[in-house]
Amino acid sequence: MLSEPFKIIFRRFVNRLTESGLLIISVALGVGALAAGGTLFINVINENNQVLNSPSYKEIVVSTREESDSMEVPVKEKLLNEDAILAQSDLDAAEMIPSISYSYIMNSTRLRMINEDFQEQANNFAPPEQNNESSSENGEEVVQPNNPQDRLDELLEDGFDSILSDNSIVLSDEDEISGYNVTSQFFDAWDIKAAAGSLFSSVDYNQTNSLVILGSEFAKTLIEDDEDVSSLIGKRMLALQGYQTIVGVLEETDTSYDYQFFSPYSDNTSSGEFSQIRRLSQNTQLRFSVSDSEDLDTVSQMLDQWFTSEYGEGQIIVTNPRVEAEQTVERNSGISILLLVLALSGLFISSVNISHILLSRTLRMKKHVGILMALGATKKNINLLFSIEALMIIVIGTVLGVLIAIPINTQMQSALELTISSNYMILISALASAILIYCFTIIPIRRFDRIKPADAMRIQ
Amino acid sequence: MINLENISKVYDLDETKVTALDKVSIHIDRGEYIAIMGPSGSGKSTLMHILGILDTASSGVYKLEGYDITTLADKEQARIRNKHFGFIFQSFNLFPELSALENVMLPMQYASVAVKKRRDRAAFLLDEVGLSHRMNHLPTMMSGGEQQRVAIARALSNEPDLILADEPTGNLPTDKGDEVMQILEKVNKTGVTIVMVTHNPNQGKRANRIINVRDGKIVENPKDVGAIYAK
Repeated sequence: MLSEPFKIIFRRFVNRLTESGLLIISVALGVGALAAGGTLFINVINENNQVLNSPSYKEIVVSTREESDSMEVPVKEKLLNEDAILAQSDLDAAEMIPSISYSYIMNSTRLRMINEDFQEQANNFAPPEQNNESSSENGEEVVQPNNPQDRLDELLEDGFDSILSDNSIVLSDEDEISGYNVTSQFFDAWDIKAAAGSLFSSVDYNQTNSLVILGSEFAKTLIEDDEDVSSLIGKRMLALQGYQTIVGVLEETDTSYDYQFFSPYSDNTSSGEFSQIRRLSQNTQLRFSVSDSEDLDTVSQMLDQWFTSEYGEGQIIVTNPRVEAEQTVERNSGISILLLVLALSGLFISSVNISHILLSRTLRMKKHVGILMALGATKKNINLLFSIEALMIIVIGTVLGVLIAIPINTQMQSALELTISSNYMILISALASAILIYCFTIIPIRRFDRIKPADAMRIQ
Repeated sequence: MINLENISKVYDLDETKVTALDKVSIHIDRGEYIAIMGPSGSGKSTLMHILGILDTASSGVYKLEGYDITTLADKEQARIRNKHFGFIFQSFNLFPELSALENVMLPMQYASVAVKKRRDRAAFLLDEVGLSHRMNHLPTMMSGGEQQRVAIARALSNEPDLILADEPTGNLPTDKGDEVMQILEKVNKTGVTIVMVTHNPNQGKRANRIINVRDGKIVENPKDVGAIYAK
């Protein structure tokens, strides 16, 4: 229950609803502006740090010219026009450059999963004319079977029901899963370890069995809630490309890798045109990572020289993704700083406005203050009363400010294509804004610190 | 009970010094009923404010029950005002946001009296001043006489030793003023000291003692006082 002095403040607040409402709106706008601007600024900084510290932007990507120019060129045409086909042996370039920490191949790939939905689709499939060639789609390896029904028949010799009852086989609800064929140093470069099972052994990279390591989130989709991901180790996933034996589940990386799978990369050792087509279709990219991003320019130049000497002028493209990332980082930082300055200006204007209105509101309470002091209120009691009034306005305004900041922040995050989005930062920024506004209310709150009751009551 | 020794009050107004009280010495005993009289601007309200520790003297000593309270800290001054003094003002000075009951309860809140106890005492006091039927009314809904009676009830809420009334009937018609005076006299009979500022000679006559203030000084000649306000 409110004590009598607080009833005075509360009832004055309600009686002067328009003025109180304007104060609350001022607080809401100030808090909303800084909560949105501040959150964006912090998120941009965090994202920038994450981007620039990401292994992706501490490496040089080496690819063939055709791949860099266009993904649309048919593989066979590429083969006719192109001599350069990158292979695992090209990673030897790293041995010449000491500042390269890791070198690996990372080719994107997909698995077409077989599940009950797939079986239903396959049953309704009308077989096309025979075509034994593999094809490339969007630069990713998709091994096409003769037709799904044949491939399915081959895999499901004992029928689908027997698969459902086989505990060693895992069915994915997904139709298709993306992943990467990687060489061993990929995991070292990204410092990713296995949470269950193991990473690929050196033997795994040479054998023909289909082995996979799963990202943590993808693994979770294959188990029940009460199961551990380690239960997946040794089981086989049923895919159109054949059974894929799960050898490991990665620890969480907070990247898209958590939703993907990895299989061991190896060059096709057979010779001839088909081997070259396969390697071309894989769009092999070599990646050379360094521990210090300052070395990237030098390493890039050295790799360019090495690959030019190996494959000829212009055949191989050496790119440094960090250059583009740094431009994006700089742009986002500039925008976020500008918005932060605008938000701080808005908050400052709001705070001054609030302080001014509260001061005039407090001055109108001068006689009340005198009477309260005559009746026994100390200056501390009076300050507390005005503090409560200011806090009441600030708290309501801050809640509204947060409600304003959330959609604004979402829009700005989306405009800057940020992946980091922490709503708790909005609350922290809003709290900081509220504290700043409260600091501006100290002048009106302490307006009567040195006044005597007789002087306060003298105003009629 | 109260001893003022050579109390002076000087205001600095635009580089001009105005002496409101000039070496005033007064002794007030417990249970007295004193009227402070004098023309406008003579310093009687300033004297009243200093007596009620609503203002501080520029020089001199203020002793309450033998203790020098001239330079007490704000917290102690507030405690004395709350526990020992009750104030009644010409313009009532009730809080328009609070009901009569809440206005009377307010000083007890600063004395840390529990809600129920202060509600019961406020109701009792309002009943004493004949306003039991107006407890939940706001001051704006009450007549001047009723408001002043609420103010008296508020002044009595913490059972004060001294009631300081600054022209308590100044804003009231004669009959309502008489009612207020009767209540004050009744309160005085219970042992509460009353110091009242008034312009009204008839009200002055009803006091046990008159302190006549002119130009910031106490008029020393009792004959003059007697001649003007002879009982």
